[in-house]
Amino acid sequence: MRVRKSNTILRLLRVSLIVFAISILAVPVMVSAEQLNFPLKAYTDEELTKVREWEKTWAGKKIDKSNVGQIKEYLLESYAGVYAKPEVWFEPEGFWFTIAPYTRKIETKGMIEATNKYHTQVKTDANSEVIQNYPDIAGMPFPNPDLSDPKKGGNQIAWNYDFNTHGDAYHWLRTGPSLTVQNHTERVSSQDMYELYYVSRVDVDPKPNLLKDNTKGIRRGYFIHLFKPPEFINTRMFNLRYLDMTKSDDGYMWYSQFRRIRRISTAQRTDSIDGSDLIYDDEFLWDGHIIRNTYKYIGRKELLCARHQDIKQLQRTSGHAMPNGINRERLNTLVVEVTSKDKNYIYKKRVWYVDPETYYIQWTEIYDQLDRFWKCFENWTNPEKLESTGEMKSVICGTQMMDFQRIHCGISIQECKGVGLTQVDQNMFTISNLQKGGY
Amino acid sequence: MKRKDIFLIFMLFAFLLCTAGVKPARAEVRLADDKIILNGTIKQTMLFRTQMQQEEYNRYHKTHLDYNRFSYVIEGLFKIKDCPEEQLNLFVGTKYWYELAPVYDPKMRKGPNPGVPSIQRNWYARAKDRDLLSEAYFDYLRGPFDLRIGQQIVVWGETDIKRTVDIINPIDVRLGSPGIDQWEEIKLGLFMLRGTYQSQLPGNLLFELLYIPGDFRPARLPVDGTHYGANPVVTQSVFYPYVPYGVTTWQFEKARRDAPGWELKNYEYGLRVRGFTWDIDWTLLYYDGLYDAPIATSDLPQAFLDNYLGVALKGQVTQTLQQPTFPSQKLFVYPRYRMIGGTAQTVIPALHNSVWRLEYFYNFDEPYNVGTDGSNSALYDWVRRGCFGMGLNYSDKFKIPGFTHRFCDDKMMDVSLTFFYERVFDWNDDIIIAESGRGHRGQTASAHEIAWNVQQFIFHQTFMFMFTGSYNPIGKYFLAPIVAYVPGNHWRWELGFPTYGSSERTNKGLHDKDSVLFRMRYEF
Repeated sequence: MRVRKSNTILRLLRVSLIVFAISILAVPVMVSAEQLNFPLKAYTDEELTKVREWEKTWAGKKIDKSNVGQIKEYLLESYAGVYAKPEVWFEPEGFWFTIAPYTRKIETKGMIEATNKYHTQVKTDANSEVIQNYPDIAGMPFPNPDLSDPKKGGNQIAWNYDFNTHGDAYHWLRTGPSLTVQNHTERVSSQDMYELYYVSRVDVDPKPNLLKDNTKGIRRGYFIHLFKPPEFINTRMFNLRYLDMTKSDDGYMWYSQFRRIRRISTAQRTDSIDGSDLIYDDEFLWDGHIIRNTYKYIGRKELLCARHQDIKQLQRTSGHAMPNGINRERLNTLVVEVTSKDKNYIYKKRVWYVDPETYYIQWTEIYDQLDRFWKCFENWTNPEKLESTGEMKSVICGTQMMDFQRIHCGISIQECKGVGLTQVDQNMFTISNLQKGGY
Repeated sequence: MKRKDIFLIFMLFAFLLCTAGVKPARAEVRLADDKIILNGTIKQTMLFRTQMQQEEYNRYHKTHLDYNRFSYVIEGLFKIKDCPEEQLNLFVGTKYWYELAPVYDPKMRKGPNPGVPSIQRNWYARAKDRDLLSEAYFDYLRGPFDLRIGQQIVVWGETDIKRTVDIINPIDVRLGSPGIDQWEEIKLGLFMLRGTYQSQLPGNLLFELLYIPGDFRPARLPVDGTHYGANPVVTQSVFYPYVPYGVTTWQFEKARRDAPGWELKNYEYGLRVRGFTWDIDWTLLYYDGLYDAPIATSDLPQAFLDNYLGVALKGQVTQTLQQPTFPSQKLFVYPRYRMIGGTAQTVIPALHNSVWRLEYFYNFDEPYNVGTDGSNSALYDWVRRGCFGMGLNYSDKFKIPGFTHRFCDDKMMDVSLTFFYERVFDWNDDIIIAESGRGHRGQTASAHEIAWNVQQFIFHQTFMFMFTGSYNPIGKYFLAPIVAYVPGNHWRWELGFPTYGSSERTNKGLHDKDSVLFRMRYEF
């Protein structure tokens, strides 16, 4: 009996050891699989149930000054005010938008694969602020940002924003009225724009790098062909951003009035752009190197966001502050406070409201140097079909910019001409191209 | 009602109509599924002289509004073939102008000695013949090649106001002035073949070659008695009023008649290489062509005596109006010369991220007239000399505390400053240069000048303030503050005050032409 007992104990011990050994080996894998919650969802199942309940009342409803008060908790205070008191914006008849049900956005296969492949390879500096192997990775570097640490979390959200390559190659036509609402006049700019990522590519081959030998260290090329205003007809420019985060962009412009190719200083990024409320850093709601700011994650905020915006549904009257027919849905955004490291920077701070599923900045609030609320910009996004894979990729299809101190605003309506383009001529970002098309 | 009153009422009505009806609309016109793109400018420009000698006013003007030009430029791009492999386009630019001042001011056109000589009035007052076509060329693009054939305007320079190496096309300053009008409006198109090739060589070398097969057009100089021309003679001279125009008009008219026109032997060619090295964008260029400005031959003094002074003397004796004559012999030549030069531009981060541009040239065998002690009136021949010149331009943007944020919506102030220098080698004090407008003091080999442009947009670019000017240490200056109102997509209203001054007797320029500028434009 004793022998049988001891055998049984030994067998149990052996089984326990095997289970222990397996568990030791398996746990990291399981933990890792559990930690890599990507692509993210904006809501847990429980939260989503509540959202759906709310939507039973509100989805499909038209919101205007008569009922905006009832949903104001899901709008930024400034915008709730625009709808509640449209006369401030010289629009006594008021503005309206509609509420749509929340629809989850799932990143492309390429983004998911790249995130899975590279997120473990991300190397940061000692302060966990700067990605040091920036050119060698792609996808979201921090698929599950550490939100328990405000500084680290904010920083990681910012890097995720930076690594959204907008489908790697994007072409759009922007129509951008700058509005003087007091007299309902506007000056419209119209421009064809291309964006091409040289590194961190996830959706279009070759991936992740466009060039085998990127000797110039180009991160992104950006090309603009202006059609309006008339003084700028056929003015064309390109901008190259470099992997070296300490280096300013290179910019060249063919200025049609002077018929000259002019090198342009791209370092003055706080200069406002041609009468609009934007500075150069405000493109996409942030267009600069991530290391220029400090970031602080400050929580979540449920907001109505235009994430499935068909720009053809917008109803815009010339000279009026905001289009009607914006289609907004609830989204549990990530809120990040952004402060420039430059003490003399034009803005004291920005507050980003980031889509946790795509890492686009859906809203941003901007404060002046005296920390007074100044501007609020909203991005409209919409899924568009990638030319490369046929999947849907969310891209920015418009932006509303409002200056609440000066009561001035601008709109950018961006018609997608192609995303995930497989044939973007790199010669577009050359002086030769500027000269060729110069008339 | 007087014609002047009708005109003023019309202008007032047009102004009110335009300001009341500012509505947004599309800019350029696109036709045939975007295969034809049209755009242009329609413009009315007026200069009201605030500075005019009383004698000149009494004798030659009924109004101080001595410049009132209607003009337009319309450009069209026709896409004949547009596919990824190759493109064929036709670019056509047309322009027209009509100078109204002599129409409503009878003293500028009537009488034996009108303010504007009748011999040149029709030539300058409206666009005619080839002037109607600024450009017309085919553009064929394939791979790294771009070939353009036809009448073209080429810009090779980088600096403002002065043309340092931007010398391919002659200029027409009959009714325009650098700093007030765009270069493209005052350049004359030339027929040429122009090709570029983008190489794969280090430095991204871009080669450009142009060949002008003898299409020569001389520079167009301002007509006496017009706003930009020399003032008409105001004193009771020996000859006036027995000849209908002054000495300068006779010389300019003869120079115009002596211009060679289109002949194969007047070919011109140029080569430019563009590259990028050490963060500097540079060009090197070479040009071989004819001098655009007339150079008087040694026959001029005698011919002038025979055909102008003699005739005028006869008028004085007989007390009758005489018409000067123009001999068939060539008194003005447009000699061939060569130029090498280049440009460079870069951004210097250490200097507030400012942009710096450099232009330089050396002219071989540049022609100069010579006269005793450099005097134009004692002209006896012409010589050739080498000449070096350069322009260094600095441009930057600035915030003005308390101003750009409050009034300019954080639009920074654009500042551009250019220093020019020129030196004629193997100097001879007889070289006539002070009156050439190149900024030299009499009998001096070198000249210096600074030019600037300050531009500030205000109230979301609804207004724009611009201050352009230049200063030459010889005491010559040009200042032009301009305010523009840009209410919407198309209309532009500008008010300015161009002023000029010179303390140099032989280099006065437009020293007494201070004016109020009023310009309205419709851009589309």
